[in-house]
Formats: sequence, C-alpha cells, structure tokens
Amino acid sequence: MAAITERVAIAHAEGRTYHGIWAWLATVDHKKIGIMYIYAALFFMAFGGAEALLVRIQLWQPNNHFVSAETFNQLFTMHGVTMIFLVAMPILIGYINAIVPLQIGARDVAFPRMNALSLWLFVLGGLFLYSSWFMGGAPDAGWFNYVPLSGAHYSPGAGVDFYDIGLQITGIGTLMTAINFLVTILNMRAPGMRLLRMPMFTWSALITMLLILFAFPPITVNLILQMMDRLFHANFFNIPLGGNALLWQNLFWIFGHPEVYIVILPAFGIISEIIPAFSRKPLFGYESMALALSVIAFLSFMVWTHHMFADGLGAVVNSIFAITSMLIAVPTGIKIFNWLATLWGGQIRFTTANLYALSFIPLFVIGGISGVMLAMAPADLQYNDSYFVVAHFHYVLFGGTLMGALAGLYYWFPRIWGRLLDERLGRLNFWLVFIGFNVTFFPMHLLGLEGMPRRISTYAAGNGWTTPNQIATVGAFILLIGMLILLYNLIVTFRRKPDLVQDPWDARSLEWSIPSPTPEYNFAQLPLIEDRDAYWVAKRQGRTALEPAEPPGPIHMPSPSLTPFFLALTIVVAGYAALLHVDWLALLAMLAAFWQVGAQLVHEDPGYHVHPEAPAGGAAE
Amino acid sequence: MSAQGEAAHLPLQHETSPELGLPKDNRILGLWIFLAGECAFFASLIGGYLGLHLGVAHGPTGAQVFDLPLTTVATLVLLSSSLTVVLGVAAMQRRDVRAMQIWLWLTALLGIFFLEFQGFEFYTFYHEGLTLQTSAFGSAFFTLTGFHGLHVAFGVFWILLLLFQSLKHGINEDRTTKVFVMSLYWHFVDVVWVVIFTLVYLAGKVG
Amino acid sequence: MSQGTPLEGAAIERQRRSQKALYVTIGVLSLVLTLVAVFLVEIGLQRSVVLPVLIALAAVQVLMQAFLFMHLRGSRHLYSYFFLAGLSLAVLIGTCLMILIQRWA
Repeated sequence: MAAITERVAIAHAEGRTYHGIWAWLATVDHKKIGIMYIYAALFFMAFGGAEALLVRIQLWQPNNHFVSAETFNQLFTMHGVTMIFLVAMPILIGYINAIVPLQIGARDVAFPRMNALSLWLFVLGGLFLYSSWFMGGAPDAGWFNYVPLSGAHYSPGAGVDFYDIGLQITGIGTLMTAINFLVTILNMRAPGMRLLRMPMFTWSALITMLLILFAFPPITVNLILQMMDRLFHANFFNIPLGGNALLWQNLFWIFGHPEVYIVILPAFGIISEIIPAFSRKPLFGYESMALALSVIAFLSFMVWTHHMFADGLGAVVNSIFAITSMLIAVPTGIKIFNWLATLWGGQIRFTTANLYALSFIPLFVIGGISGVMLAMAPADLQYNDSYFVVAHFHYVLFGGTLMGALAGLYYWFPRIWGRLLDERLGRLNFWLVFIGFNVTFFPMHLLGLEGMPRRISTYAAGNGWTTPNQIATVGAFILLIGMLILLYNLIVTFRRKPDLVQDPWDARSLEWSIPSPTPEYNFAQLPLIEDRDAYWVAKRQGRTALEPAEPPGPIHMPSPSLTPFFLALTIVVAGYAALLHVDWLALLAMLAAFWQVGAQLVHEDPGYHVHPEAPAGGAAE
Repeated sequence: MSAQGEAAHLPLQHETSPELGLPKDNRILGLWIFLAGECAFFASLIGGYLGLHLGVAHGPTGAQVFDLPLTTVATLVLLSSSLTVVLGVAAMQRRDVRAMQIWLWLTALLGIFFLEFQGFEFYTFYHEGLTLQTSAFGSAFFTLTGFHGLHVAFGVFWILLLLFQSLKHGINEDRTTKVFVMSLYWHFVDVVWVVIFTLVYLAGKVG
Repeated sequence: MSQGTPLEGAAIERQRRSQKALYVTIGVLSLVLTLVAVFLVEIGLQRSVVLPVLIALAAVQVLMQAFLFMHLRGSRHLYSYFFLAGLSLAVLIGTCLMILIQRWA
C-alpha cells in the first residue's frame, strides 16, 4: 500500500493527473480540504498567539513603552480577528470537513468544488488580511470595529479597509460551507442513518451550519455598508447627514452573538464524541443533547443586544435581552449535566484527548457563570468593557473552543493522518496549556472587578492592577511553552512512519469503521445503518464491519479542478484593487470572477471511476 | 484507462442511487438553503433602509423624487418575467426545447428592460439631487435597489448562459435541473422586488 | 412524449394545460394586485389604513410566487421549512432594525 504522502499527492481526472502541490491546489476531496483547513488554522494561530504575547508584554508594568499605542491597537484587533475568523472557525470547519462525511456514511460533500472554493477563500482572504501589517497598518479599531472610530474620519488609513474586504472574502467562503454541509447532512446520509441516529458531532455541525446561514448575511451587509461609506462617501454611519452609529452595532451583534455559538457548538460536538468514547458508555440523554443544540441556536438570535447594555437603549430593551441571555444558559446546563452523567459509572481512560475534553467542562462552566453575571444588565453596567469581559470570553473561547479543538486534534489525528500523537508529550502539552491558561486569564476576573478597562495600551501605577497583570503575562509564557510542546509533538509524530491503526480508541462512530489510511472514496460499499453508534453495536456483536447497503462496484469520483483556487485568487486581486483604489482593475477582476462562476454554472463534470481493492468488511490490520 | 468510455455507462453516485432511496435533488435543496440566507441578507438591507430613510439631511425625500408610474411599469415588467420563466420551465418539463428557449429569451429581455428602467430612474434621481452621497436616505436607497439590480443582472447572465448551452447542446437530465434551479433564483429576485416596491416606493408615497 | 396508453397521454395533456392555466392566472393576478396597491396609494388614503393593506397585498404576492410558481406546494416539506425560517428571520431582523434605529437615532 502506498504511503500516505504519495497517496494524497496524486489526484486523477479525465486524462489529467495532478502531482505534488498542484494536487493539493486542485483537490476537491473533503479529507484533503479538511487537512488544509487545520494546517492553515494552526499557522494563523501562531500569529494570533504572537500578537497576544506582545500585548501581554506591553501590559507587564505601568507606563510601559514596549510598543506604541497605535501598534497596540493593531495587535489586539488582529489577535481577536485572527483567533475567531482564522483559527477557531477554520479548525472546527476543518474537522467538520474531514470527519462529518465519514460519520454519516457519505463519499464526499454535496458540492465538492464549492467546498474547495470555501477553503481557498479562507486561506487567501486570511493572507490578504495579514498583508495589512506590511501595507500601511493592520486594522486597529477592535475586532468588532465600531463606528464612528472605524469610519473614514477617525481611521483614514487602509487598516479598516483590510478588515472590511478581508472578512467579506472569508465570509463568503463560510456561507458556502454552510450550504454545502446542510445539503450533505440532510441529503447524503447512508441508508438507515436517520437524524436521531447521527453522531452528536454531526448534529452540532448541522445546527452550526444553520447558524452560519442566518448570521453571516447581516455581517456581510454591515461590511458592505461600511465599504460604501469609506470608499464611496455614503452616509450609513455619517450622523450629520442622517446616518446612525447604532446600525453598525446592531448588525454586527445580530451576527456576532450567533457567531460565538458557531464557534462553540462544534466544540460541544467534539466533547460529545470523546467523553462517551473514553468512558465506554453511550452519550447520556442523546435526544436532549440534540434538542439543547437546537434551542441554543434559536435563542442565540434573541440575545444580541446584551452586547449593547451600556448604549442607553433603556430599561425595557435591556430587561428583555437580559432575560433571553439568562435563558440560554439553561440548555447549555443540560449539556453539562449530560456529559457528567455519561462519565458516571464509566470505565474512564485518561488519554490526552480525554484530558482536554474533561478540562473543557469546568473551564466552560466558569465562563458560563461569568456570562450569566454579564447577562444581568444592572450588574453588567459595573463591569461592562472591563477585563471581566475579557476573562469571560477567554474562558468560553479558549477554555471552551480551543480546548475542544485540541481534544479533537488528539482524538482524530489517527483517522486524518494515520498515526497517533505521542501521549507523553501530549500530557505535558495539556498540563502546561491548562495551567498557563488559568494563570493568564483567572486574574482578569479580578482586574475587571478592580476597574481595569479593556483595550488600553498602558495603565498607571497605584491601582492595584500591576500584580494581576504580571501574573497574567507569566501565564501567557507558560502557554507559549505548552504550545511549543504541541509543535514538537507534531514534528516528531510526522517524522515517524504512520501506524495505520484503523480504530485505536475502540470508538463508537462510523469514521472508525473504515481502513486506515482512509480510502479516497471513503466507503467501498455504503453501510446500512440500523442503530445509533452502529459501529459500536457491530463490534459488540462480534462483527468487524457493518452490513453493506449496496453491492460492490466501481465508484464515481468528482474531478479535481484548479478553478476554485484561481477564482479565490481573482477575488483577492479584486479586493486589493478596491483597497488601492485601482478602479479599472477591481472592475476587471470582478468581471473575471463572474466569468469563472458562469463557466461553473454550465460545467458538466464527467468525473472518473475507481475500483476499490478490498470488498466490504475492511482489512483486518 | 478508457475512463471516458466507462463514464458513459456508470451512474453519477453523488446524486443518483434511486435504489438506495437517496434524493436526487442536492442542487434544488442547495438553492432553497441559499435563498433562506438571501432572505437574511435582504432583510438586513431593508431593515437598514427602514431605519435610515427618514435621514434626508438637506436632500430630497422619497415622496419628492419617486416616479410611481415609471416604477410601477418596471414592477409589472419584472412580474411578467416571472410568468415567462415558469412557462419556460413547464415547456422544458414536456421536453419542448424550442418553446423553453423562446420563454427564456423573453424572460431575459424582460429582465433587461427592468434594468433599463432602474438605470433611467437612477439617472433621473441623480439629476434631481439624490445621490449615494446626499444623505443616509440616498445611501440606503441606492444600495438596496442597487444590490437588487445586481441580483437581476446576475440572473439575466445565468439565463443567457443556460440558453446558449441549450442552443449549442440541447437539453438533458442534468440541464433540466440547472434550468429549474435558475428559475427558483429568478422568482426569488422577483419576490424581493415586490417587498422593496411595497416598503420603499409605495410606503414612501403614502401620506 | 406521452407515456403509456392514449388515455394516460390525454390525462397528462389535460393536467399540463390546467397547470399552464394556473400559471397564467397567477401571473395576471400578480399584475392586478400590483395595480390595486398603486391605486390605493394614489387615492391618498390615511397612512395607518393603507400601510397594513399594502403589506398584506405584498404578503399574498410573496406566498403565491413561493407556493405556486416556485412549486413549494407539492415539493419536499424541507424546502418550505427553509423558506419560512428565512422569511420569519427576515421579518424579525427587518422589524427590529427599523425600531431600534429609528427610535434611538
């Protein structure tokens, strides 16, 4: 059997074979696309982390001059933009790409070429955003980019234009991902895989995609309105000519609140896979978990004004949104109790993946508690815009999303890359990250309650802020070491030969039922699903594989294509042209983009066929 | 390899497999999902317009510049194009390719007429002192109707693409799905215009 | 293009013609409803009376187009769920934005 690197390097088409890097640029295979999402997310995480470290160094002591205030503003803005849009979302979408089709017994997603386009829009859009550092300055008005600060008057440089255009580019890709996975999950499940038999990670992906579908258009509109104001002198946010600054805030948070659920729900899904696997028990309260996901998603569109409690909207508005914000804690609490009930009485194995998953529970609960404190509008007015908020969202975004993402990395590494990450290095990585995280962010609760505002580049001595800030900075360096251990783990693991163990964890769901490395076509024969956790049931009945739902035969595959990459590139060129006010090039590039889209609308892909070597049953390795 | 020869016989497993009971309608479902997202998109633009349209600064109001007879004609033109496209789809379903092509031509022409009316309207407003830069109302009006117009233009482009494809290569199972999907998009763009016409023009002219 | 027996072929023909008649009826009805709406505006009735009627007329047009022209009636219920979810969210977002921006200008 060919080594993984050779296998993934060659993609076939009608008389066309791509090799090496071209195979990666032209792939439409969800597994390779997932890998590239994860690599790119880890790459951007290094930069987002570096930005955070520089912030923490600047805040080490009062009146520090490590970086200027202007640079500081760019650092915390890009840290936020990077971590949310270029790390958290892509890594979770990477797992969804790599794993969800396998979990539902499908051979690929509904629209493979559009899937590739989503990836390249993210990668090239992210690079576009980062080029801002070298082209006059990065965005510096905060990740939420409020007007009037981000308007042409107070932010005349190109930084905010990079924000507006860069996030448009990546955002369109994300919307396409939502359409793709909604059709895939709703239409392409294997026979017998009813919705209530799907793994919980797939459920979380389904609900997340619905959130993306409805949350991303408002931010798209918001960014368009600001581009109109900045590039064409429109007046959406220009108050003297009738504009309204609150319009930005409302549109932003109508997107922004569902967005944070978009980055946490897949993490919930990952925890719901790992805890049952390493407790040797089914997930407790499966139906209530699916219902909780749905209720959280529904309510997430009803709470956005809790980000605007200090705007002066009045007691009635504030009360309504305070109540809805507190309500949303209820389904989340149900999930926490279900995970605990899953662990109860289970045979628990403390692998690195499980350590991360278990740590998620207390850390997310702490973040949730500070969240309920923030939901109480009168109380919020005390600590709004202080480090208390910073502590809250880092506990849910890092303690929640990132711990979940790292759990997923250790858990699914063997399925995606055919080898296991080293467990000793993994434990070292975990403990350093866990300790470093808490040392960094716990003091921020106290800092906020002691009155330290957010987004200040320095502070005066004598407020009692110095010591907690120094503790936080030390914690950030512990985190750095922990992440370097992860990097080291990745390097030594990739240096080793692949283990190619099909089901190293003795897990429950369908992605573990196929050979390692995962065949190009996923399933030689689509399986017939008769239970929840069908693979686990089969194993307990002494079978090594599931009953096939179709006879063996040749499998049709979609052709690879360079169009998604070149289309994304064309759109980024248009973005640069608009930013640099080279109007003819912007227009030309947009027309070229529409031309390429038009070609796809009439395109008919004959694809090609592969003949699986082994019949159903999988190789006993 | 003779993959070409093989491909002719074997089913496209992404979208068929009727024996497994998998639906064949990935693209139709995909478009309905896309339209749900477009609802949120236009809702944001319309909501923004409704919030800002009273901000006229020193410029004209809607009631002052809107030419209701002209816009009504444009609306009737676009609504007619909805009828022509559905008749085209009906012709396609009975495999009357010639009739389908005629109806699609008509649809595209009506769409182009609509765009001409819009262009003339924009030109007139510009000379009456309402531009994108005049006021928040001006910005909101031109952005909302402009984006709708862009959607119409893309729809015309799409119709012509499919029309030329059918002229060159005829129709097949795959292409009937493409035409149907395009017609759904076209109807949606029309529906959005009904909402815009009501909430912007008609509501703007009411006392 | 008719399948099966001549009787079945004739039945299919009748169904197609009634489909076509339905489409033309809806099409003409859309034009008429539009003209009615314009008429109501032109005769200058009170705003609080006319606006709800205009919105109702628009809603009828939207639902007619969606359920009849776009074949929602007779298609998978899933399509209707997505369409109605989008519509509901649209009404929510549009109304909230209008209220929140106008009242807190």
